[in-house]
Amino acid sequence: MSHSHIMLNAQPDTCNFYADLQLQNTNLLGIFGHSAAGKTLLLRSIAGLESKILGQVVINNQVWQDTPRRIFLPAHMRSVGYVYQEPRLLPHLNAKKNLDFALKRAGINSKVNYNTILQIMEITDFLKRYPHQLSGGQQQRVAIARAVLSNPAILLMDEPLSALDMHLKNDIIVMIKKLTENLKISVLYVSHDYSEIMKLADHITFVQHGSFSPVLAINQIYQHHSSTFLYEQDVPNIVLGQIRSPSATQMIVDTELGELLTENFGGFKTGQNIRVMLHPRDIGLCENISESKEKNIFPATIQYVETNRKPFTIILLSVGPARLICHLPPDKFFTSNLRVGMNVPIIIKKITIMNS
Amino acid sequence: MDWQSIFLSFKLATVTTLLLLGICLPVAWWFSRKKSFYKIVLEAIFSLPLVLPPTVLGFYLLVCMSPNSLLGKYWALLSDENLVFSFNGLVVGSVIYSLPFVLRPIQNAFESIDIKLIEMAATLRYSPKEIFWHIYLPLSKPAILTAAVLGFAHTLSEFGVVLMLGGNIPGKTRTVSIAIYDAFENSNYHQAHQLALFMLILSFIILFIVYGLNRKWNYIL
Repeated sequence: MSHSHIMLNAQPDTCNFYADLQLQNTNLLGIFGHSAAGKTLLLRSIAGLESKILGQVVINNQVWQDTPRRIFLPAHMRSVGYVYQEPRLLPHLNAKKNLDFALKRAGINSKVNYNTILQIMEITDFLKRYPHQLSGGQQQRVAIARAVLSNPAILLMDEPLSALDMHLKNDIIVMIKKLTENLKISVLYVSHDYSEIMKLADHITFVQHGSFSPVLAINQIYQHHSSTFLYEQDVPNIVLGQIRSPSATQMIVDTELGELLTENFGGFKTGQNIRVMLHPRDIGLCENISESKEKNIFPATIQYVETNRKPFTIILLSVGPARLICHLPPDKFFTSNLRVGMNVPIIIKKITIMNS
Repeated sequence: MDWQSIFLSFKLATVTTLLLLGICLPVAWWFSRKKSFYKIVLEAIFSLPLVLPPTVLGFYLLVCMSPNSLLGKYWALLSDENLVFSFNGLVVGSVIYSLPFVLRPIQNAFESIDIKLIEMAATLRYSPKEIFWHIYLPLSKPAILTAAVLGFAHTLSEFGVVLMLGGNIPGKTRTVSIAIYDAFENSNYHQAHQLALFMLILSFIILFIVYGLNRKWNYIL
């Protein structure tokens, strides 16, 4: 059983930085926070690029840093794959040779299959081209393949998609997903864009002013009403599920909430594990019982109400074991009889489904 | 044509350039990575030949290398030859005189290498030494070529230091620039013309090739 944990803090009186992360069951840990929150500093410290951060870094049972024991491996002795915001390809080498630059470091026992990686990242067509002859998206795909080809113990990704267009982002997210499933490698993925993290991560931590929240499973981020995610706008609810009996037009998804009925978007098989994204504004509270004839209605209990945040009143609901949040316009909330502890059916108006 | 002087000049310039590359590549690498106070002191000392008149340099070198000096004494013990008025003395003088012309371009190139690429290589498990071979050297190829040519040309055209340190011994210390001056002094204008024109054309060809290569490499980089 390999053990990985990170416990780091800044020197006193320098900056606010504190992280205590256990990486036991995480495959892809999303690190979410606003700019300058300390996300990049965490990745740089793990890679050995920051000498002024104190603490412990243990990856796959290997101690990379232990300040009390005066252990600090320099960057080049740590087995990381690092994908930066910019591609950072060597300008004097073509794509193939940039990949070879990393492949030389993989070692004989590398579990990485060169051809598979190239196929997943779809870079076989332009291996002979130099970086200046490639588009931004192509360059970043080469950079991701390069990081992986060095056969690292951990993959660090620092906003790898932030410089790309929206449609390119989605393509590369699918590639990253395939890549990490193929490699079974622990990934830390930093982003200020919740949508990337919600699509990729199985666990998540939230950074605020240098402090990292405990690691939470992606479908359990609202388990406490103190959860920092509660106050983030536009963070969707994630519910895990499994496809059951897809027909030509419709399909049923078994989830923690119960049976969800949805149109068949195509491409899903029976038994496939999926994640369902529910936007807080797409969950309605039906005080009027007559609405309950419609589909996708679930009994819920109001756990917590936050009225002091604009522009919505935030309502935390429990539906079976799951916790969801929904947003209501403040006037609608104040004119209703809703209060904490009340049982009220909810209706889910719109869902997005993607591979888990 | 005074082929002996031409050969000597090229031998001196080649030996000096090779020695300077051997000295300047590690020194420039060290300079580009440090930010200490000593670095500023050393940089200032290494740049002195840029501003000092060759006669000042020649005078001090003569003092340092004379048979009565520490350096001169040990050199004579080891090589059965005086350092002054010898080819080896000229090499020592030329190395010092041309040092900033080789060091500056290389150091500038090393310092302009993006730290992001260095960090990228470090996280791919390249040690500082390997980073020097795989990133510093290839990315600075045009600058290193420029530096080598500047050092070579500057040694070829050197006059004051050579005259003071080496004098005018044919086959030993009489370089082309000394030979031209010597011919001119003796009103041998024909020979002065020959050598001067030869140097002019040759220098042009060298610079032409260098600029051509630099353009090609810069296009790739």
